Amino acid sequence: MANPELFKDLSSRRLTWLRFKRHKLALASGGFLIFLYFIAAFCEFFAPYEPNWRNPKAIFAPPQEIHVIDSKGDFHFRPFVYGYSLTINPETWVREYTQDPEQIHPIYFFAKGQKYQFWNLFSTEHHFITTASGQYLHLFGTDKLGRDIFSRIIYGARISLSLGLIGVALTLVLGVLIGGLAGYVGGRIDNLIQRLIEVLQSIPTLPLWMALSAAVPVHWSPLGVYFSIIVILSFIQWTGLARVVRGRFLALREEDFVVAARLLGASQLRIITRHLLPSFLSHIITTATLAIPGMILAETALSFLGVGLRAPVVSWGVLLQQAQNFQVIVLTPWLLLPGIFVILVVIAFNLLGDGLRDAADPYGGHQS
Amino acid sequence: MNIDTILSIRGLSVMFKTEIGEQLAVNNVSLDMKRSQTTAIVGESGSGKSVTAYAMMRLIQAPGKITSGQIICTPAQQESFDVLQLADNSNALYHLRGGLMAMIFQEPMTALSPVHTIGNQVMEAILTHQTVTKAEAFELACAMLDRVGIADASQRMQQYPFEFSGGMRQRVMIAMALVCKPQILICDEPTTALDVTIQAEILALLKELKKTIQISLLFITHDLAVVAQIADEVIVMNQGRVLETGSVRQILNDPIHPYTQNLIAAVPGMRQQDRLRPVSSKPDSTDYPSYSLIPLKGDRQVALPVSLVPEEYRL
Amino acid sequence: MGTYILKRLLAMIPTLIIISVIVFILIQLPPGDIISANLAALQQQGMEVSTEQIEALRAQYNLDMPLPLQYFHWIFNFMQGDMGYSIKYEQPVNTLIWERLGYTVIIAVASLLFTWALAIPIGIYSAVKQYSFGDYLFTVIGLLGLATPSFMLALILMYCAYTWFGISVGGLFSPEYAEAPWSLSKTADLLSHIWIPMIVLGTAGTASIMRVMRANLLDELSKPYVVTARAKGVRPMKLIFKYPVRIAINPFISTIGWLLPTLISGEAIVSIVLNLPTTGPLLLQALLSQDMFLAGSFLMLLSILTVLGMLLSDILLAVVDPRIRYE
Repeated sequence: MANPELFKDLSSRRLTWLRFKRHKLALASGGFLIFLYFIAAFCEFFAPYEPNWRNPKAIFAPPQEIHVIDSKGDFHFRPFVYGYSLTINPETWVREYTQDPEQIHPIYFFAKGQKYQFWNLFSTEHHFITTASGQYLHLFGTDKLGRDIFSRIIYGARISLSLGLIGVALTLVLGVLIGGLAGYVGGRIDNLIQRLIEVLQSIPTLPLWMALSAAVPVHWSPLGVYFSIIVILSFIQWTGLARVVRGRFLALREEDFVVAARLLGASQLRIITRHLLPSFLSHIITTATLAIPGMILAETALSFLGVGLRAPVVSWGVLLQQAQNFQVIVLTPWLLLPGIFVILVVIAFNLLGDGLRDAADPYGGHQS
Repeated sequence: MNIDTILSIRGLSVMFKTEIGEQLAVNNVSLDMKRSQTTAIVGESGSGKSVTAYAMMRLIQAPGKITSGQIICTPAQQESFDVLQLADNSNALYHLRGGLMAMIFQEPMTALSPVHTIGNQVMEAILTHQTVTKAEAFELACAMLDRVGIADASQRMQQYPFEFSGGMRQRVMIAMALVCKPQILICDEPTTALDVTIQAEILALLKELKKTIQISLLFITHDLAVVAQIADEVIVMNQGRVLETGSVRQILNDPIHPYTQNLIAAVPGMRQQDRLRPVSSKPDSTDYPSYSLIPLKGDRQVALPVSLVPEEYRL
Repeated sequence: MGTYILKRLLAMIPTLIIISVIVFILIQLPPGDIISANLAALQQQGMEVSTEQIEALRAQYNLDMPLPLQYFHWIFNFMQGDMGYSIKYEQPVNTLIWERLGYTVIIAVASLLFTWALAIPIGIYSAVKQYSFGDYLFTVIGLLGLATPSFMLALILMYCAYTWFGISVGGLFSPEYAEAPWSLSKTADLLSHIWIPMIVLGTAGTASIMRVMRANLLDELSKPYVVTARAKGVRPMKLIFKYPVRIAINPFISTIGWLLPTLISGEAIVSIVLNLPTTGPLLLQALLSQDMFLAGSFLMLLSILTVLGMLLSDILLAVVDPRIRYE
């Protein structure tokens, strides 16, 4: 038998949370994303090296594995990696790094390493992981200039992840304002906005993005380029959200409970804040969550093509620029690692968004 | 078993798996349908009346499941069989659906496919169950539509459901149900979604059809006025159980079970002075404990302990 | 039906006009113009260019006119089929563009067909066998497909083709066919190359369409008309295909409209990775070298393609769904 007591005194927010908690995958994805954003926020601390620091002893070096037992079979309490020894393949003249069991580079936690400016506030030397000076740690290998991929991915996370958030925030503002205007005012203006959205949506996105970002002056500062890319991405993305907002607005305006509130003499403000907004918010949050991966993928694509963010800025897309041809997969597959992070983050956002949608709207669960 | 019983349900239970546990939508229900009569199942929403009907045609789908019972069907000039014993995907089951029993639904607006013509959908019923050519099926369908009162049948066969009014669509549904000459017609609240004048027309049509073709009607409704107009026998259901059965006169004029009495008292009358009495919509099981049906005088049954049944009704 | 198509055709006109204005603005957006870009190149080579020469060049490209006039000049020429002159390739845009556009269309349509051929059956399977192992498996694969950047997928496929079949799969043709006239064997060669871009482009679309199909079908399966058909004794397979699938597929016809722009978008990046002779790489080159006439013409043509795709999908939708025709 149903137990009505179970649902009696729960606010709708609490109910939503209870339903969301049932989606274990969404919950895990949320945790994973919070973890990544945390690392991105403190990337100076978590990365062992500065993104543009070069290790001349390791050019295109493969990832090092972490060991606790050395080649002689002795157990080390402190985990360590092996240093590289370089050989030149006499046939192909390709540099080949092998991990040399003679060179043991212990890993130190919270120890002093490279000096850095933390959030431009103060300078410090403490890193989450580092090695003794003169030794090195390249968990994800190095690129053609001997830069540490692991550090670059962590720094890239700050750019790529924040770009997704800020971009969607901007999209949200544009979409809600314009879509809300269309839905609220209706009539001529609604028609006009509808047309505009249709037009914008019928220009193929990527070429349009490419054209717009090619127009960003080369001499702009990295920060300028960063924000102009966000604006460019939002310039198209808002249309989808505006459509959703408008549609929901129109539908909600005619809902019985809104009509009832109006007939009962509720003020316009009360109707919007007490009735429209709550039933709206969940939709907007889910739509926004599901829009973030689109942003991140778009940035990756643009930067990959060389029309997005540009070095010295480090984003995942910029990192993947080094993987333009498939020789990379054969010779230096670790250069594709930033791509794995892109995939993981996109999947996590999708799962989180699905979970939020189901939690917020248990009956509309399967409209995509 | 009485030869005059076309369908006899014994101990039927249907379980639904929901988020808050398993629920018995139909709980150990037994009832009989007399041949060529109209049996009405009356009850409020959630009483299990529709689920019972769906079970008769084996239309229950996950998360629902028939957990126990027998549904013995005895078609005219045929051996009786248990509907629940038919194998899934067996020919007998597909013959049962549409051939032996047919069903019309509450919402004529959504019960027809919006993207197929009326003709296509009525003819499909014929082509599924009879070996006839398309042309013959067309003729049969036309004749049937004409029979249920749709003018210009051959013209309207080409039209789509959205070009029909609600009452007309319900006529189409009736034609589609009757076109294969089933022996049982289940009407699942067929007039609930229609306005009152159309309701009366559809009821009149059903009554008139029943007179001319040999068919047993199972009428599911919550509307006692409809029951009074059309039913011969009445079964009162609540909370997945049968509370009382009897002839329409017995039940409406002389109800025994307190729930039935409440139900009838709740019907607004023309000259009623008092406030309407609400039927406690979810009666606690303490109000109507699960007594089993006991037979009474005059071929009626009630789910009460003998001690609570007035002397004059007891056998 | 005729009036419906006519109405849709008329509605296209304002859309195209606005698009052309946007594209024109895009052409004008980069700082400087082709002349100054070229001038810098000339001066690097040590050539002196006099002011008169510059003015003459500017006049040749109508750059001395006020902007609105330039727009009308550009759009008028465009409508007559004259798309301007590519400074970078030193050829009229016309000679550069058509063959590449053709390949873009071929790849986009092939990917569209691939997407449908894969996504619709999987979507039906997932809906009918909801929560089965297969359903979960396809959901996971779909999610992966959705999340993998297309260029990475292209790289990985190229690698697989290289290591497993020993073929290099860049381009659309093997070298010996690239310049050859069309023949049966050239077509066969094209087919042996086109599958990689087709799979790469189709994957993301397949993932999303599969989910849409599953959701639509689940919605439809619970509709009363499905129960009606079951109560009529229609067999399960016939029932699923005649009723819910038929209706659940309708939205797909309307997806041609939005799938085409995404495919053309995706095609640009995949072609760059796979080095295909389509519009994408040329557009990128044009943008990077600020050859804005070429870029603008590409953008305009791609947009026209998209608008046509939307028109097509609306007409098809009206054919399959009688309710739309009568609106």
